[in-house]
Amino acid sequence: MATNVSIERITSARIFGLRRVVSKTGTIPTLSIVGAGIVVVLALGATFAPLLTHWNPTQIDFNAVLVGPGTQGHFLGTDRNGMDIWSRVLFGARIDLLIAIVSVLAGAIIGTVLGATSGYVGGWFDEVSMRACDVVQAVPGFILALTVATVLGTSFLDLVIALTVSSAPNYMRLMRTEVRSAREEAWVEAARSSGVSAPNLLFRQVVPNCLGPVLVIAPLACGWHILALAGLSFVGLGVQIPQPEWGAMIANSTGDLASGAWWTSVIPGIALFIAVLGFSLISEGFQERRH
Amino acid sequence: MRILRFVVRRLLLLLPVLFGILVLTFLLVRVMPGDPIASLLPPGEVTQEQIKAARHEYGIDKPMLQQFVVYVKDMFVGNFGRSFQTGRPITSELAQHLGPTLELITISFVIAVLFSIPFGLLSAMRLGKSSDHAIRFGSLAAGSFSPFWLGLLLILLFYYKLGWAPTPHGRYDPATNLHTITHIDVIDALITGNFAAFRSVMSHLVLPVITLAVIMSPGLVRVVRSSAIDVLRSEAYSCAVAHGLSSRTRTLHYVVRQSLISLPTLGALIFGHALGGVVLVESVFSWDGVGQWALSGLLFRNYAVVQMFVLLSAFIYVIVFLIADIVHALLDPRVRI
Repeated sequence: MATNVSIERITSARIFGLRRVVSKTGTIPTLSIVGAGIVVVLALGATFAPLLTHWNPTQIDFNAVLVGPGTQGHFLGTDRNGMDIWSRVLFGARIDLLIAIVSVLAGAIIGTVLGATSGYVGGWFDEVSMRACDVVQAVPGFILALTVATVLGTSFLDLVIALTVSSAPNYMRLMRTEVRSAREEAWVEAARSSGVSAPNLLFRQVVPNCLGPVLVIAPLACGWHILALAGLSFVGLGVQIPQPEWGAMIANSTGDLASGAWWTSVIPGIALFIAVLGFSLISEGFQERRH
Repeated sequence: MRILRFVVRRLLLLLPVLFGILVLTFLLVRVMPGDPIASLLPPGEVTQEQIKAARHEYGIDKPMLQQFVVYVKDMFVGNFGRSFQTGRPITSELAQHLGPTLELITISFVIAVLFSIPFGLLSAMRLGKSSDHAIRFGSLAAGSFSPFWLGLLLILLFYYKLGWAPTPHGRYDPATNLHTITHIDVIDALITGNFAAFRSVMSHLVLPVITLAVIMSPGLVRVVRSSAIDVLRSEAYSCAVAHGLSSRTRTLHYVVRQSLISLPTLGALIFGHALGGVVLVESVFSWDGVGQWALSGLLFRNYAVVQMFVLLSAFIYVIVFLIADIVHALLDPRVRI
């Protein structure tokens, strides 16, 4: 009988945990919808990029080098290499969004698993992993990413690893705190005493209940990762030209400002800004619910 | 007395972290690809023996563990190695680059804090009203800027279009003959009484400082706002209202004071993040600080420079956090136990 009750509570708590992420009232905040809308539009633009432009992002138009927006068939102009900016912004979204989302997912998954284990098991494992977090987190994220990217290189995977390494400890800490407090709750105690195995209890019952903060932070983190990736590319340690990437596009065109060609650096920057804003809005909506 | 014990305990807790950082930076830098010596010496003109001698001179022909022991030993006597690029000791290169960066970050941080506190408080006190929405959206937007793009926009507007800002290259006009003493330009200009240089330094600081301050503000506004909201909703505050305390007293003694308790910790976090952001800002404004120095070190695989840079930023970060904890303990007696 007791077992039935506890399992029932576990299941309801589990559903509640996931629903709690959405909101207490069951609706999604307006800001988050707006943010998600922006991100979806960008993602669609990235996916269907070949349909939205007939220029190849790395194709050189020798007849139109550094021409302004709307001239010679180039919707947003061309850069100093004669490459179409509209096309590069669209294809750039592919790289930026993909690296950001993959690295956030990787960081969140690794951080969640390690952090949850650490918080639940405690003892020396907890001690060691938290000290490791202390050390990694003592180096500012962007600087760690810079160094790791220098060590590894500039391929897709290298950059994902650089961003993952510098973000995983954040999720680890977040998850550990959540799991530690959940561990003391009566329903966990009940499940434990009714013989639910530790891994099962932790990863199927406790973790889903504790995911809230991680899920709220994740979109915001996508924004940060886009910024970090663009920053890496800007200083030449990220995506390399002629590959289309927003930060690299800006880096490649800082010299154009003197000749009055603002579009080569301003336009990719706007794309960058909108993408980060979109992701931040998603998180902001949920965070505001707490007040 | 209590606060002293608190500080000592925090310092002791820092030791293993600092040691870990040492190991981390050492390893990170050693696994870097490419042979720094080979890439520095001109090809053809050097013999194998010369390369060997150079590797021996910089101590990178020894086994890893031995290198680490030497590294730690040297560090205790203030010897952080020499730059592969210039052959000069790292410490003297660092001294030259650290001042300008600290100057930039500190001024930006102070300005960001001064702007964020009133905005955060205002936003909380007008919760749900249009000014609150405006401030929230403004800080979201500010947080969405990449430092380098914002810097470029400011350069485009204030230098190329309006012509108000000085050339966005370097920290002051060399024609002003600023005599360097501390490598912190503002201080140097003041103690040498060189007012032309002081004006030049200040005008060069404006755009990079705005850039960094805009990047730092959103987090600060957010934390002030959310702690002020908590205060406004607390029973203590309701009690103060019920007792008929004037709104001035309530704001100053309840809202402001209590909202600022969480500021030091978050301030430290933001200061630390700015250490990363400053690399980009320096790059845009050709600001000859630690960030620029480290970037060239990274690009040229200059072990000693990269090591010093990572170590330094971690060290500054840790120290800033320590200061924040102490300030926090001073502000909030509950922490001191």
